[in-house]
Amino acid sequence: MEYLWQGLIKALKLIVSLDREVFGIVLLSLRVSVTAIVLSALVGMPLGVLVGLRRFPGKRLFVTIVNTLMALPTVVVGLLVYTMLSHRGPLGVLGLLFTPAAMITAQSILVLPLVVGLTIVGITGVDPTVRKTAVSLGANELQAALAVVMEARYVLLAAIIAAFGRAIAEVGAAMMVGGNIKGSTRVITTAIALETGKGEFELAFALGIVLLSVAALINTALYKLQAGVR
Amino acid sequence: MSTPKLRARELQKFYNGRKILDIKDLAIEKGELCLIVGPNGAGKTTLLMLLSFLDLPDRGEVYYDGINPNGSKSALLSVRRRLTLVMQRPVIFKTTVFKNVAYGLRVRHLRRGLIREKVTRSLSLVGLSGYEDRNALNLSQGEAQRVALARAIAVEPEVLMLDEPTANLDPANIRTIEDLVRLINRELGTTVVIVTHDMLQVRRLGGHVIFLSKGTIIREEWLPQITPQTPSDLWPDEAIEGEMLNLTTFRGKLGTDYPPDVVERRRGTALKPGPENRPANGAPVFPTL
Repeated sequence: MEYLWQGLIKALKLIVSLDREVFGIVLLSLRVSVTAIVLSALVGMPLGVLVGLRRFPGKRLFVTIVNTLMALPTVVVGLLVYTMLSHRGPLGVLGLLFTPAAMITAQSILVLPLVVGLTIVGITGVDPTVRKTAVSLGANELQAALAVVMEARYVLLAAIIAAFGRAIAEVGAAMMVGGNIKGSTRVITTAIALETGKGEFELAFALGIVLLSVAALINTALYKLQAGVR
Repeated sequence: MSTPKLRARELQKFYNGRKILDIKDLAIEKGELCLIVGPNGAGKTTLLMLLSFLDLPDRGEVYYDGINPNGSKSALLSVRRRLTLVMQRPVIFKTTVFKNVAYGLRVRHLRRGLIREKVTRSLSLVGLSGYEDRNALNLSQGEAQRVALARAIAVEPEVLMLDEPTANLDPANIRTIEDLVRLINRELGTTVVIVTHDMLQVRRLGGHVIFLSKGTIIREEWLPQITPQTPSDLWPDEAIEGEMLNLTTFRGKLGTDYPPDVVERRRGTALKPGPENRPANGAPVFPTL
């Protein structure tokens, strides 16, 4: 037990002293995951809104596929992106493998089904009379759709929170396509995995604490935002 | 005779292969207070959805000022911006009272100052001045209904349609809403179409009454539009309720069914009989009892 306590104390010292390595890793983690969330939200939310509002043949099949992909294993995404970006792969010429861009790509793909799926849930959960009310008050099609989105905004924010949690906490894809290169593609989760493997718990602990704090901080901020849009 | 504000011809609507609405010919004149009454399942709400262009008929046409906008997106939007419907269970948007009432004005891209002005006026009309910043989700049912009404009148529609506006409300709220309906109809000249199953409300409001049963119009009457003076006008006892179920017919056209000097009540004002106040022959009349 002794080494656990020592590890924890050293970890806190690393955080308090604003250790350069720790904060480099944390900042990269945030950069990668936040970019991935923004990208998947830009694509996934409009798609989810469209699917949620429209009726079309094959809609149920589409929703089933999206729901299945919500549980996509991170290593499968890692494998997929790796094969696409490896120098023998179709996108190999871009030279993106083992760069933050590759990690962003992988995480975007990973959370996209989550964003689309939860957006559909949010939109279809809105009382259908909201749209009719908007139309009867003179809204055009786009304005009426926006009214529905506004009514679903809590669920949409929850989708962002869930997607961010999945992105920042995943390790498989980041390890596979990022390569865990120190100072370049090493993020919180891959660093923890590496340090634990080496038996050097203090850095792992420090990063674990930071990871939890970052998650708590961002969720609090988003919930505050949610309360603000009421 | 001028073009009716709303006209439905050979209107049919089916649900699961069953005909639920079959209207041969229905005309609602400009400035009219029109009440659509009938038992549950008579097709009242279905008819209202078609008249407000929120639903498409399976057969037949609905004309607004002589134009059938169904089929043209731009014509439809333009007509929809001239009428508005308050549904039976109005949806209140999850935001403040102000933003709810301002909604129809915002989608029309009105100036901010003008929006504030109109919202303030509408809220004061429904007796909810000072409610602007309240969370609309924390309103009582009566307040929510009034916010929905304020939201509808804020856009100053030519036709205001209300689906069971007073169902499940207490007497005080019913009175507020009925007074408001009279005011909007008489002072602003807005055509008002109300769906109700309450015969006492029909008596209290009066006007062009359309009786609907099993999807068809079984009777049309023009009842006097009374201005209640005493509480008994508003809340007739059960004896009057019994009498009400046996409505007398007052339909007719001036000059043919009624003598030209009949006292006419239009928008609540009893006009003195005389040539200067005589409406044109053929105009619908609301003779006093």
